[in-house]
Amino acid sequence: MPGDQGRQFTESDARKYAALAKIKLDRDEEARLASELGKILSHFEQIKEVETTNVEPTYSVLDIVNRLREDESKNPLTQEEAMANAGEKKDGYFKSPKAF
Amino acid sequence: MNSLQTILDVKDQKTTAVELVTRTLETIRKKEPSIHAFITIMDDAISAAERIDRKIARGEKTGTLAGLPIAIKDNISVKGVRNTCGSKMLANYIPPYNADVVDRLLREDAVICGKTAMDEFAMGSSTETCSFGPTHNPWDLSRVPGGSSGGSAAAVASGEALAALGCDTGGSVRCPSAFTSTVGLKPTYGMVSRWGLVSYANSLELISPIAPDVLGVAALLGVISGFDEKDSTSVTNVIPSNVEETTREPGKFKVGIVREFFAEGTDERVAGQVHKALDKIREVGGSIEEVSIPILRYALPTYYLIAMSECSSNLSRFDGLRYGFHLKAKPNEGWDELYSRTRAVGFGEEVKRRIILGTFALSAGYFDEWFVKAAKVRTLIIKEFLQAFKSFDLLAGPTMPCLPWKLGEIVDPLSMYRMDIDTIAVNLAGIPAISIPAGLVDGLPVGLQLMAKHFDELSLLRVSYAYERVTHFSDKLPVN
Repeated sequence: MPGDQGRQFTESDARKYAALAKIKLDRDEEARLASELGKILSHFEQIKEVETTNVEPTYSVLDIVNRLREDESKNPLTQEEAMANAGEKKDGYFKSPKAF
Repeated sequence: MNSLQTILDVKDQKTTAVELVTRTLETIRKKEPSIHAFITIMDDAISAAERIDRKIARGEKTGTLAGLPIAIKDNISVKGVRNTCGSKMLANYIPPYNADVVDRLLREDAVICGKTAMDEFAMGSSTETCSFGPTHNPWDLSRVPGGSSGGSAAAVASGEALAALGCDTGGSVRCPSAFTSTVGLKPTYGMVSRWGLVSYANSLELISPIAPDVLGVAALLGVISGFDEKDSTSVTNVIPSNVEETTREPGKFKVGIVREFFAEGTDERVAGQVHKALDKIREVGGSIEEVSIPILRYALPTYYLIAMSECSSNLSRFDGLRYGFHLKAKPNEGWDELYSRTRAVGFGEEVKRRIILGTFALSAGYFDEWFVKAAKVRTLIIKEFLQAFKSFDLLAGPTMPCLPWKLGEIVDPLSMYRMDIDTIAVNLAGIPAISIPAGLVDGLPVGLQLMAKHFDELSLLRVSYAYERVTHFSDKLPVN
Protein backbone atom coordinates (compact mmCIF):
# COMPACT_ATOMS: atom_id res chain seq x y z
CA MET A 1 0.00 0.00 0.00
CA PRO A 2 1.31 3.43 -0.80
CA GLY A 3 1.93 5.44 2.32
CA ASP A 4 3.14 8.92 3.05
CA GLN A 5 5.87 8.52 0.44
CA GLY A 6 3.20 8.91 -2.24
CA ARG A 7 2.32 6.53 -4.97
CA GLN A 8 5.05 5.41 -7.31
CA PHE A 9 4.34 6.10 -10.93
CA THR A 10 7.56 5.29 -12.68
CA GLU A 11 8.96 6.40 -16.01
CA SER A 12 8.30 2.90 -17.23
CA ASP A 13 4.62 3.31 -16.22
CA ALA A 14 4.48 6.59 -18.12
CA ARG A 15 5.93 4.83 -21.15
CA LYS A 16 3.53 1.89 -20.83
CA TYR A 17 0.30 3.90 -20.52
CA ALA A 18 1.37 6.44 -23.14
CA ALA A 19 1.94 3.52 -25.51
CA LEU A 20 -1.54 2.16 -24.73
CA ALA A 21 -2.95 5.64 -25.37
CA LYS A 22 -0.95 5.85 -28.62
CA ILE A 23 1.02 8.95 -27.65
CA LYS A 24 4.75 8.94 -28.32
CA LEU A 25 6.75 10.52 -25.49
CA ASP A 26 10.36 11.58 -25.43
CA ARG A 27 12.58 10.85 -22.40
CA ASP A 28 12.05 14.28 -20.83
CA GLU A 29 8.29 13.96 -21.11
CA GLU A 30 8.37 10.49 -19.57
CA ALA A 31 10.28 11.80 -16.57
CA ARG A 32 8.07 14.84 -16.15
CA LEU A 33 4.82 12.87 -16.49
CA ALA A 34 5.99 10.17 -14.08
CA SER A 35 6.62 12.79 -11.44
CA GLU A 36 3.40 14.78 -12.10
CA LEU A 37 1.10 11.77 -12.36
CA GLY A 38 2.68 10.23 -9.25
CA LYS A 39 1.88 13.38 -7.31
CA ILE A 40 -1.67 13.55 -8.69
CA LEU A 41 -2.39 9.88 -7.90
CA SER A 42 -1.06 10.33 -4.36
CA HIS A 43 -3.63 13.04 -3.88
CA PHE A 44 -6.38 10.92 -5.46
CA GLU A 45 -5.58 8.04 -3.03
CA GLN A 46 -7.87 9.73 -0.50
CA ILE A 47 -11.01 8.38 -2.19
CA LYS A 48 -9.99 4.94 -0.95
CA GLU A 49 -11.01 6.09 2.54
CA VAL A 50 -14.66 6.21 1.44
CA GLU A 51 -16.70 3.15 2.46
CA THR A 52 -18.37 1.90 -0.75
CA THR A 53 -19.33 -1.68 0.09
CA ASN A 54 -22.72 -2.39 -1.50
CA VAL A 55 -22.70 0.96 -3.34
CA GLU A 56 -23.52 0.69 -7.05
CA PRO A 57 -21.31 2.73 -9.39
CA THR A 58 -22.88 5.61 -11.38
CA TYR A 59 -21.86 5.81 -15.03
CA SER A 60 -24.70 8.12 -16.07
CA VAL A 61 -26.98 10.31 -14.00
CA LEU A 62 -29.91 9.52 -16.31
CA ASP A 63 -32.18 6.47 -16.28
CA ILE A 64 -32.26 6.28 -20.08
CA VAL A 65 -31.24 2.83 -21.33
CA ASN A 66 -30.43 2.06 -24.96
CA ARG A 67 -32.82 4.39 -26.72
CA LEU A 68 -33.36 2.98 -30.20
CA ARG A 69 -34.93 4.30 -33.38
CA GLU A 70 -35.94 2.80 -36.70
CA ASP A 71 -32.97 1.81 -38.81
CA GLU A 72 -33.53 4.43 -41.50
CA SER A 73 -31.02 6.94 -42.75
CA LYS A 74 -31.74 10.55 -41.84
CA ASN A 75 -29.89 13.40 -43.55
CA PRO A 76 -26.56 11.60 -43.73
CA LEU A 77 -23.38 13.42 -44.77
CA THR A 78 -22.40 12.91 -48.39
CA GLN A 79 -19.21 10.95 -48.98
CA GLU A 80 -17.55 14.18 -50.07
CA GLU A 81 -18.57 15.97 -46.87
CA ALA A 82 -17.50 13.07 -44.68
CA MET A 83 -14.06 12.99 -46.29
CA ALA A 84 -13.50 16.73 -46.69
CA ASN A 85 -11.21 16.94 -43.64
CA ALA A 86 -9.08 13.88 -44.44
CA GLY A 87 -5.32 14.34 -44.69
CA GLU A 88 -4.87 11.88 -47.53
CA LYS A 89 -7.45 10.09 -49.62
CA LYS A 90 -7.46 7.88 -52.66
CA ASP A 91 -10.36 6.70 -54.84
CA GLY A 92 -12.91 7.86 -52.25
CA TYR A 93 -11.15 6.12 -49.35
CA PHE A 94 -9.14 7.44 -46.38
CA LYS A 95 -5.51 6.58 -46.97
CA SER A 96 -3.62 5.08 -44.02
CA PRO A 97 -0.24 3.44 -43.58
CA LYS A 98 -0.10 -0.35 -43.43
CA ALA A 99 -1.84 -1.65 -40.31
CA PHE A 100 -0.38 -5.18 -40.58
CA MET B 1 -26.16 46.01 -20.32
CA ASN B 2 -29.33 44.15 -21.19
CA SER B 3 -29.17 41.51 -23.88
CA LEU B 4 -32.93 41.08 -24.14
CA GLN B 5 -33.73 44.77 -24.53
CA THR B 6 -31.53 44.85 -27.62
CA ILE B 7 -33.56 42.04 -29.22
CA LEU B 8 -36.76 43.93 -28.50
CA ASP B 9 -35.26 47.09 -29.99
CA VAL B 10 -34.53 45.20 -33.20
CA LYS B 11 -38.09 43.84 -33.31
CA ASP B 12 -39.54 47.29 -32.62
CA GLN B 13 -37.27 48.71 -35.32
CA LYS B 14 -35.68 51.15 -32.84
CA THR B 15 -32.43 49.74 -34.12
CA THR B 16 -31.57 47.21 -36.81
CA ALA B 17 -29.83 43.86 -36.65
CA VAL B 18 -27.20 45.31 -39.00
CA GLU B 19 -26.53 48.23 -36.63
CA LEU B 20 -26.26 45.88 -33.69
CA VAL B 21 -23.94 43.44 -35.43
CA THR B 22 -21.84 46.24 -36.95
CA ARG B 23 -21.39 47.75 -33.49
CA THR B 24 -20.41 44.35 -32.09
CA LEU B 25 -17.85 43.71 -34.85
CA GLU B 26 -16.40 47.19 -34.23
CA THR B 27 -16.07 46.42 -30.53
CA ILE B 28 -14.38 43.14 -31.43
CA ARG B 29 -11.89 44.90 -33.69
CA LYS B 30 -11.16 47.49 -31.01
CA LYS B 31 -10.83 45.11 -28.06
CA GLU B 32 -9.45 41.88 -29.50
CA PRO B 33 -5.81 42.98 -29.49
CA SER B 34 -5.93 43.24 -25.68
CA ILE B 35 -8.59 40.60 -24.78
CA HIS B 36 -8.17 37.80 -27.37
CA ALA B 37 -11.58 36.22 -26.74
CA PHE B 38 -11.92 34.84 -30.26
CA ILE B 39 -10.21 32.25 -32.41
CA THR B 40 -12.39 32.98 -35.45
CA ILE B 41 -14.32 36.21 -36.11
CA MET B 42 -17.31 35.94 -38.44
CA ASP B 43 -16.98 38.95 -40.73
CA ASP B 44 -19.95 37.70 -42.76
CA ALA B 45 -22.21 38.14 -39.71
CA ILE B 46 -23.39 41.34 -41.37
CA SER B 47 -25.08 39.43 -44.21
CA ALA B 48 -26.94 37.27 -41.67
CA ALA B 49 -28.07 40.50 -39.97
CA GLU B 50 -29.22 41.93 -43.30
CA ARG B 51 -31.42 38.86 -43.86
CA ILE B 52 -33.05 39.39 -40.47
CA ASP B 53 -33.67 43.08 -41.12
CA ARG B 54 -35.30 42.22 -44.46
CA LYS B 55 -37.59 39.77 -42.67
CA ILE B 56 -38.59 42.44 -40.16
CA ALA B 57 -39.11 45.03 -42.91
CA ARG B 58 -41.39 42.60 -44.78
CA GLY B 59 -43.37 42.03 -41.59
CA GLU B 60 -42.44 38.33 -41.46
CA LYS B 61 -42.33 36.47 -38.17
CA THR B 62 -38.87 36.61 -36.62
CA GLY B 63 -37.27 34.42 -33.99
CA THR B 64 -37.06 35.14 -30.27
CA LEU B 65 -33.35 36.03 -30.56
CA ALA B 66 -33.64 38.16 -33.73
CA GLY B 67 -30.40 40.00 -34.36
CA LEU B 68 -28.67 38.93 -31.12
CA PRO B 69 -24.89 38.81 -31.72
CA ILE B 70 -23.76 35.60 -30.03
CA ALA B 71 -20.31 34.03 -29.56
CA ILE B 72 -19.90 30.26 -29.68
CA LYS B 73 -17.19 28.27 -27.91
CA ASP B 74 -14.80 26.71 -30.38
CA ASN B 75 -15.78 23.12 -29.56
CA ILE B 76 -19.41 23.55 -30.70
CA SER B 77 -19.78 22.83 -34.41
CA VAL B 78 -20.91 25.55 -36.82
CA LYS B 79 -21.13 24.19 -40.35
CA GLY B 80 -18.36 25.48 -42.59
CA VAL B 81 -16.53 27.38 -39.79
CA ARG B 82 -13.38 25.88 -38.34
CA ASN B 83 -13.80 24.28 -34.94
CA THR B 84 -10.40 24.10 -33.31
CA CYS B 85 -11.23 23.10 -29.71
CA GLY B 86 -8.28 25.37 -28.89
CA SER B 87 -5.98 22.63 -30.17
CA LYS B 88 -3.37 22.22 -32.86
CA MET B 89 -5.03 18.83 -33.42
CA LEU B 90 -8.10 20.52 -34.96
CA ALA B 91 -6.52 23.77 -36.18
CA ASN B 92 -7.88 23.24 -39.70
CA TYR B 93 -10.95 21.11 -39.01
CA ILE B 94 -14.14 22.39 -40.70
CA PRO B 95 -17.30 20.66 -39.42
CA PRO B 96 -19.72 19.58 -42.17
CA TYR B 97 -22.78 20.02 -39.94
CA ASN B 98 -24.23 22.26 -37.23
CA ALA B 99 -24.48 21.30 -33.58
CA ASP B 100 -28.14 20.90 -32.56
CA VAL B 101 -27.89 24.06 -30.38
CA VAL B 102 -26.56 26.03 -33.36
CA ASP B 103 -29.54 24.97 -35.49
CA ARG B 104 -31.81 26.09 -32.67
CA LEU B 105 -30.09 29.49 -32.34
CA LEU B 106 -30.22 30.11 -36.09
CA ARG B 107 -33.91 29.14 -36.22
CA GLU B 108 -34.49 31.92 -33.68
CA ASP B 109 -32.49 34.38 -35.82
CA ALA B 110 -29.46 34.82 -33.54
CA VAL B 111 -26.33 36.03 -35.37
CA ILE B 112 -23.08 34.18 -34.71
CA CYS B 113 -20.27 36.74 -34.43
CA GLY B 114 -17.39 34.39 -33.73
CA LYS B 115 -15.90 31.24 -32.23
CA THR B 116 -14.24 31.72 -28.87
CA ALA B 117 -10.95 30.77 -27.26
CA MET B 118 -10.89 27.94 -24.75
CA ASP B 119 -8.52 25.68 -22.87
CA GLU B 120 -7.40 22.91 -25.21
CA PHE B 121 -10.29 20.43 -25.53
CA ALA B 122 -11.90 22.25 -22.54
CA MET B 123 -9.24 20.88 -20.18
CA GLY B 124 -8.33 23.76 -17.92
CA SER B 125 -9.64 26.49 -15.64
CA SER B 126 -7.94 29.56 -17.07
CA THR B 127 -8.01 29.43 -20.92
CA GLU B 128 -4.20 29.40 -20.76
CA THR B 129 -3.85 25.96 -22.39
CA CYS B 130 -5.44 27.28 -25.61
CA SER B 131 -3.03 26.53 -28.48
CA PHE B 132 -3.85 29.90 -30.06
CA GLY B 133 -2.88 32.04 -27.07
CA PRO B 134 -4.67 32.83 -23.81
CA THR B 135 -7.62 35.15 -23.25
CA HIS B 136 -7.19 38.14 -20.93
CA ASN B 137 -9.70 39.14 -18.26
CA PRO B 138 -11.52 42.37 -19.24
CA TRP B 139 -11.49 43.44 -15.56
CA ASP B 140 -7.69 43.22 -15.37
CA LEU B 141 -5.76 42.32 -18.51
CA SER B 142 -2.90 40.79 -16.51
CA ARG B 143 -5.29 38.14 -15.12
CA VAL B 144 -6.99 35.03 -16.48
CA PRO B 145 -10.71 35.09 -17.35
CA GLY B 146 -11.18 31.59 -15.88
CA GLY B 147 -11.89 28.58 -18.04
CA SER B 148 -12.33 26.59 -19.97
CA SER B 149 -14.97 28.82 -21.66
CA GLY B 150 -12.85 31.92 -20.93
CA GLY B 151 -13.22 33.35 -24.43
CA SER B 152 -17.02 33.18 -24.29
CA ALA B 153 -17.24 34.85 -20.87
CA ALA B 154 -14.64 37.53 -21.71
CA ALA B 155 -16.48 38.30 -24.97
CA VAL B 156 -19.75 38.87 -23.08
CA ALA B 157 -18.07 40.92 -20.31
CA SER B 158 -16.29 43.21 -22.78
CA GLY B 159 -19.28 43.70 -25.08
CA GLU B 160 -17.67 41.72 -27.92
CA ALA B 161 -20.88 39.65 -27.92
CA LEU B 162 -24.24 40.13 -26.21
CA ALA B 163 -24.47 36.47 -25.25
CA ALA B 164 -22.43 33.30 -25.63
CA LEU B 165 -22.45 29.56 -25.43
CA GLY B 166 -19.81 27.65 -23.53
CA CYS B 167 -19.79 24.14 -22.20
CA ASP B 168 -19.50 23.10 -18.57
CA THR B 169 -17.87 19.77 -17.70
CA GLY B 170 -16.57 20.67 -14.22
CA GLY B 171 -17.27 24.38 -13.99
CA SER B 172 -16.10 25.57 -17.41
CA VAL B 173 -18.97 28.05 -17.73
CA ARG B 174 -19.51 28.97 -14.09
CA CYS B 175 -15.81 29.64 -13.39
CA PRO B 176 -15.27 32.18 -16.19
CA SER B 177 -18.68 33.73 -15.46
CA ALA B 178 -17.59 34.28 -11.86
CA PHE B 179 -14.23 35.72 -12.96
CA THR B 180 -15.80 38.14 -15.48
CA SER B 181 -18.93 39.20 -13.55
CA THR B 182 -21.32 37.60 -16.03
CA VAL B 183 -24.16 35.09 -15.56
CA GLY B 184 -23.51 31.45 -16.49
CA LEU B 185 -25.90 28.56 -16.00
CA LYS B 186 -25.05 24.85 -16.21
CA PRO B 187 -28.39 23.11 -16.90
CA THR B 188 -29.47 19.66 -15.69
CA TYR B 189 -27.57 16.91 -17.53
CA GLY B 190 -29.61 15.82 -20.55
CA MET B 191 -31.55 19.11 -20.98
CA VAL B 192 -29.39 20.36 -23.84
CA SER B 193 -28.31 18.22 -26.78
CA ARG B 194 -24.59 17.43 -26.98
CA TRP B 195 -24.85 16.67 -30.71
CA GLY B 196 -22.06 18.62 -32.40
CA LEU B 197 -20.17 19.31 -29.17
CA VAL B 198 -16.69 17.77 -29.38
CA SER B 199 -16.78 15.45 -26.41
CA TYR B 200 -14.29 15.50 -23.54
CA ALA B 201 -16.11 13.83 -20.61
CA ASN B 202 -19.49 12.75 -21.90
CA SER B 203 -21.25 11.90 -18.63
CA LEU B 204 -20.38 15.30 -17.13
CA GLU B 205 -20.45 17.94 -19.87
CA LEU B 206 -23.26 20.14 -21.11
CA ILE B 207 -23.53 23.14 -23.44
CA SER B 208 -24.40 26.13 -21.25
CA PRO B 209 -25.38 29.78 -21.79
CA ILE B 210 -23.55 32.94 -20.65
CA ALA B 211 -25.09 36.44 -20.73
CA PRO B 212 -24.61 39.79 -19.01
CA ASP B 213 -27.95 39.38 -17.23
CA VAL B 214 -30.30 36.70 -15.92
CA LEU B 215 -33.01 37.26 -18.53
CA GLY B 216 -30.46 36.80 -21.30
CA VAL B 217 -29.53 33.42 -19.85
CA ALA B 218 -33.22 32.50 -19.44
CA ALA B 219 -33.91 33.41 -23.08
CA LEU B 220 -30.92 31.39 -24.34
CA LEU B 221 -31.73 28.37 -22.20
CA GLY B 222 -35.29 28.39 -23.52
CA VAL B 223 -33.92 28.21 -27.07
CA ILE B 224 -31.13 25.65 -26.67
CA SER B 225 -32.84 23.12 -24.38
CA GLY B 226 -35.12 20.39 -25.65
CA PHE B 227 -35.16 16.78 -26.78
CA ASP B 228 -32.87 15.78 -29.63
CA GLU B 229 -33.05 12.25 -30.98
CA LYS B 230 -29.48 12.57 -32.29
CA ASP B 231 -28.17 12.59 -28.69
CA SER B 232 -28.84 9.36 -26.80
CA THR B 233 -28.45 11.22 -23.49
CA SER B 234 -31.04 13.86 -24.35
CA VAL B 235 -34.10 13.76 -22.07
CA THR B 236 -37.69 14.01 -23.23
CA ASN B 237 -39.14 15.68 -20.15
CA VAL B 238 -37.53 19.08 -20.67
CA ILE B 239 -39.27 21.94 -18.92
CA PRO B 240 -38.35 24.92 -21.08
CA SER B 241 -37.37 28.04 -19.17
CA ASN B 242 -38.88 31.25 -20.33
CA VAL B 243 -38.37 34.89 -19.66
CA GLU B 244 -41.86 35.59 -18.37
CA GLU B 245 -41.72 32.78 -15.79
CA THR B 246 -38.27 34.00 -14.72
CA THR B 247 -39.59 37.45 -13.86
CA ARG B 248 -42.15 36.13 -11.33
CA GLU B 249 -41.43 36.72 -7.64
CA PRO B 250 -39.63 33.75 -6.09
CA GLY B 251 -41.75 33.91 -2.90
CA LYS B 252 -40.26 32.39 0.27
CA PHE B 253 -37.49 29.85 -0.23
CA LYS B 254 -34.84 28.04 1.80
CA VAL B 255 -31.16 28.21 0.97
CA GLY B 256 -28.49 25.94 2.44
CA ILE B 257 -24.98 27.40 2.58
CA VAL B 258 -22.73 24.43 1.98
CA ARG B 259 -19.99 24.41 4.64
CA GLU B 260 -17.61 22.33 2.49
CA PHE B 261 -17.55 25.10 -0.14
CA PHE B 262 -15.81 27.38 2.37
CA ALA B 263 -13.11 24.83 3.19
CA GLU B 264 -9.44 25.56 3.85
CA GLY B 265 -7.95 27.26 0.82
CA THR B 266 -10.91 29.58 0.26
CA ASP B 267 -9.80 33.22 0.03
CA GLU B 268 -11.35 35.01 3.02
CA ARG B 269 -12.13 38.06 0.90
CA VAL B 270 -14.10 35.86 -1.50
CA ALA B 271 -15.94 34.17 1.38
CA GLY B 272 -16.79 37.59 2.85
CA GLN B 273 -18.12 38.90 -0.46
CA VAL B 274 -20.24 35.76 -0.96
CA HIS B 275 -21.78 36.23 2.50
CA LYS B 276 -22.65 39.84 1.58
CA ALA B 277 -24.34 38.54 -1.57
CA LEU B 278 -26.26 36.00 0.51
CA ASP B 279 -27.60 38.91 2.61
CA LYS B 280 -29.17 40.17 -0.63
CA ILE B 281 -30.61 36.71 -1.27
CA ARG B 282 -32.17 37.01 2.19
CA GLU B 283 -33.66 40.37 1.14
CA VAL B 284 -35.49 38.78 -1.79
CA GLY B 285 -37.14 36.05 0.29
CA GLY B 286 -34.48 33.47 1.16
CA SER B 287 -34.14 32.00 4.61
CA ILE B 288 -30.56 30.87 5.00
CA GLU B 289 -29.01 28.12 7.08
CA GLU B 290 -25.72 26.28 7.01
CA VAL B 291 -25.66 22.68 5.79
CA SER B 292 -22.87 20.14 5.66
CA ILE B 293 -22.40 17.63 2.82
CA PRO B 294 -19.31 15.77 4.09
CA ILE B 295 -18.84 13.56 1.01
CA LEU B 296 -17.95 16.68 -1.02
CA ARG B 297 -14.41 16.59 0.36
CA TYR B 298 -13.88 13.64 -2.01
CA ALA B 299 -15.39 15.39 -5.05
CA LEU B 300 -12.07 16.48 -6.56
CA PRO B 301 -10.43 13.05 -7.06
CA THR B 302 -13.82 11.55 -7.97
CA TYR B 303 -14.36 14.13 -10.68
CA TYR B 304 -10.86 13.99 -12.12
CA LEU B 305 -10.70 10.18 -12.22
CA ILE B 306 -14.00 10.02 -14.12
CA ALA B 307 -13.25 12.99 -16.39
CA MET B 308 -9.77 11.72 -17.30
CA SER B 309 -11.05 8.19 -17.94
CA GLU B 310 -13.82 9.44 -20.22
CA CYS B 311 -11.35 11.79 -21.92
CA SER B 312 -8.93 8.96 -22.72
CA SER B 313 -11.76 7.15 -24.47
CA ASN B 314 -13.34 10.17 -26.21
CA LEU B 315 -10.07 11.55 -27.57
CA SER B 316 -8.98 8.22 -29.04
CA ARG B 317 -10.84 9.28 -32.20
CA PHE B 318 -8.10 11.76 -33.08
CA ASP B 319 -5.92 9.66 -35.34
CA GLY B 320 -4.94 12.32 -37.88
CA LEU B 321 -6.41 10.21 -40.62
CA ARG B 322 -10.08 11.05 -41.07
CA TYR B 323 -9.81 14.65 -39.86
CA GLY B 324 -7.51 16.81 -37.79
CA PHE B 325 -3.76 17.28 -37.64
CA HIS B 326 -2.11 15.04 -40.22
CA LEU B 327 1.46 13.87 -40.58
CA LYS B 328 2.79 12.09 -43.63
CA ALA B 329 3.95 8.54 -42.96
CA LYS B 330 7.69 7.97 -43.14
CA PRO B 331 8.82 5.19 -45.48
CA ASN B 332 7.82 1.84 -43.95
CA GLU B 333 6.19 3.55 -40.98
CA GLY B 334 3.35 1.46 -39.56
CA TRP B 335 -0.06 2.50 -38.29
CA ASP B 336 0.84 2.50 -34.57
CA GLU B 337 3.94 4.63 -35.04
CA LEU B 338 2.22 7.21 -37.22
CA TYR B 339 -0.83 7.38 -34.93
CA SER B 340 1.41 7.83 -31.86
CA ARG B 341 3.55 10.47 -33.53
CA THR B 342 0.49 12.42 -34.74
CA ARG B 343 -0.97 12.54 -31.23
CA ALA B 344 2.41 13.46 -29.71
CA VAL B 345 2.57 16.58 -31.87
CA GLY B 346 -1.15 17.41 -32.12
CA PHE B 347 -2.01 17.37 -28.39
CA GLY B 348 -0.71 19.80 -25.78
CA GLU B 349 0.71 18.90 -22.37
CA GLU B 350 -2.46 19.00 -20.28
CA VAL B 351 -4.41 16.90 -22.79
CA LYS B 352 -1.65 14.25 -22.86
CA ARG B 353 -1.52 14.23 -19.06
CA ARG B 354 -5.26 13.56 -18.79
CA ILE B 355 -5.37 10.95 -21.55
CA ILE B 356 -2.47 9.00 -20.05
CA LEU B 357 -3.81 9.14 -16.49
CA GLY B 358 -7.27 8.15 -17.76
CA THR B 359 -5.78 5.25 -19.71
CA PHE B 360 -4.11 4.09 -16.48
CA ALA B 361 -7.37 4.37 -14.46
CA LEU B 362 -9.21 2.27 -17.05
CA SER B 363 -6.50 -0.34 -17.52
CA ALA B 364 -6.74 -3.99 -16.49
CA GLY B 365 -5.71 -4.34 -12.84
CA TYR B 366 -6.47 -0.71 -11.94
CA PHE B 367 -10.02 -0.34 -13.32
CA ASP B 368 -11.82 -1.37 -10.10
CA GLU B 369 -9.30 0.36 -7.84
CA TRP B 370 -9.64 3.76 -9.51
CA PHE B 371 -12.41 4.19 -12.09
CA VAL B 372 -15.10 2.01 -10.50
CA LYS B 373 -14.22 3.36 -7.04
CA ALA B 374 -14.74 6.91 -8.30
CA ALA B 375 -18.05 5.89 -9.93
CA LYS B 376 -19.21 4.49 -6.56
CA VAL B 377 -18.23 7.66 -4.69
CA ARG B 378 -20.17 9.53 -7.38
CA THR B 379 -23.29 7.58 -6.33
CA LEU B 380 -22.78 8.76 -2.74
CA ILE B 381 -22.31 12.36 -3.85
CA ILE B 382 -25.64 12.26 -5.75
CA LYS B 383 -27.35 10.68 -2.75
CA GLU B 384 -26.09 13.33 -0.31
CA PHE B 385 -27.08 16.16 -2.65
CA LEU B 386 -30.61 14.74 -2.95
CA GLN B 387 -30.75 14.41 0.83
CA ALA B 388 -29.82 18.09 1.21
CA PHE B 389 -32.52 19.09 -1.28
CA LYS B 390 -35.12 17.51 1.01
CA SER B 391 -34.48 20.40 3.42
CA PHE B 392 -33.54 23.21 1.02
CA ASP B 393 -34.83 24.64 -2.26
CA LEU B 394 -31.37 25.86 -3.22
CA LEU B 395 -27.80 25.29 -2.09
CA ALA B 396 -25.22 28.07 -2.19
CA GLY B 397 -21.53 28.82 -1.98
CA PRO B 398 -18.77 30.62 -3.83
CA THR B 399 -18.34 29.67 -7.50
CA MET B 400 -14.56 29.92 -7.21
CA PRO B 401 -12.46 29.72 -4.04
CA CYS B 402 -10.27 32.65 -5.09
CA LEU B 403 -9.99 35.80 -7.19
CA PRO B 404 -8.85 35.62 -10.84
CA TRP B 405 -5.14 34.84 -10.78
CA LYS B 406 -2.36 36.34 -12.88
CA LEU B 407 -1.59 34.70 -16.22
CA GLY B 408 1.15 32.16 -15.66
CA GLU B 409 0.76 32.24 -11.87
CA ILE B 410 -0.38 28.61 -11.47
CA VAL B 411 1.91 26.12 -13.17
CA ASP B 412 1.50 22.95 -11.11
CA PRO B 413 -1.30 20.76 -12.59
CA LEU B 414 -2.71 19.65 -9.22
CA SER B 415 -2.86 23.25 -7.98
CA MET B 416 -4.87 24.13 -11.09
CA TYR B 417 -7.25 21.17 -10.53
CA ARG B 418 -7.85 22.39 -6.97
CA MET B 419 -9.34 25.62 -8.35
CA ASP B 420 -12.36 23.54 -9.49
CA ILE B 421 -13.15 22.43 -5.94
CA ASP B 422 -16.51 24.26 -5.73
CA THR B 423 -17.83 23.59 -9.24
CA ILE B 424 -17.17 19.90 -10.02
CA ALA B 425 -19.64 18.25 -7.63
CA VAL B 426 -22.55 19.76 -9.58
CA ASN B 427 -21.44 17.93 -12.75
CA LEU B 428 -20.98 14.65 -10.90
CA ALA B 429 -24.58 14.93 -9.66
CA GLY B 430 -25.97 16.27 -12.96
CA ILE B 431 -27.86 19.05 -11.14
CA PRO B 432 -28.26 22.60 -12.47
CA ALA B 433 -26.23 25.51 -11.05
CA ILE B 434 -25.81 29.20 -11.82
CA SER B 435 -23.02 31.67 -11.15
CA ILE B 436 -24.16 35.26 -10.61
CA PRO B 437 -22.00 38.31 -9.83
CA ALA B 438 -21.45 38.76 -6.07
CA GLY B 439 -19.62 42.06 -6.42
CA LEU B 440 -15.98 43.08 -6.60
CA VAL B 441 -13.02 42.64 -4.26
CA ASP B 442 -10.11 44.96 -5.08
CA GLY B 443 -11.71 45.57 -8.48
CA LEU B 444 -11.93 41.84 -9.29
CA PRO B 445 -15.18 39.88 -9.74
CA VAL B 446 -16.50 37.25 -7.31
CA GLY B 447 -19.22 34.75 -8.21
CA LEU B 448 -22.08 33.47 -6.05
CA GLN B 449 -23.06 29.93 -7.00
CA LEU B 450 -26.62 28.65 -6.52
CA MET B 451 -27.53 25.00 -7.07
CA ALA B 452 -30.95 23.35 -7.46
CA LYS B 453 -32.33 19.86 -7.77
CA HIS B 454 -32.58 18.19 -11.20
CA PHE B 455 -34.79 20.12 -13.68
CA ASP B 456 -35.39 23.03 -11.30
CA GLU B 457 -33.66 25.67 -13.44
CA LEU B 458 -36.65 27.94 -12.90
CA SER B 459 -35.93 28.37 -9.17
CA LEU B 460 -32.33 29.31 -9.99
CA LEU B 461 -33.45 31.83 -12.59
CA ARG B 462 -36.22 33.41 -10.49
CA VAL B 463 -34.05 33.90 -7.42
CA SER B 464 -31.16 35.16 -9.56
CA TYR B 465 -33.43 37.64 -11.33
CA ALA B 466 -34.84 38.93 -8.02
CA TYR B 467 -31.23 39.28 -6.80
CA GLU B 468 -30.26 41.16 -9.97
CA ARG B 469 -33.10 43.63 -9.39
CA VAL B 470 -31.83 44.55 -5.92
CA THR B 471 -28.11 44.57 -6.79
CA HIS B 472 -28.18 45.94 -10.38
CA PHE B 473 -25.06 43.87 -11.02
CA SER B 474 -25.39 44.03 -14.79
CA ASP B 475 -24.89 47.82 -14.68
CA LYS B 476 -21.26 47.35 -13.63
CA LEU B 477 -18.93 47.00 -16.58
CA PRO B 478 -15.21 46.30 -16.85
CA VAL B 479 -12.85 49.02 -18.04
CA ASN B 480 -11.47 46.89 -20.88
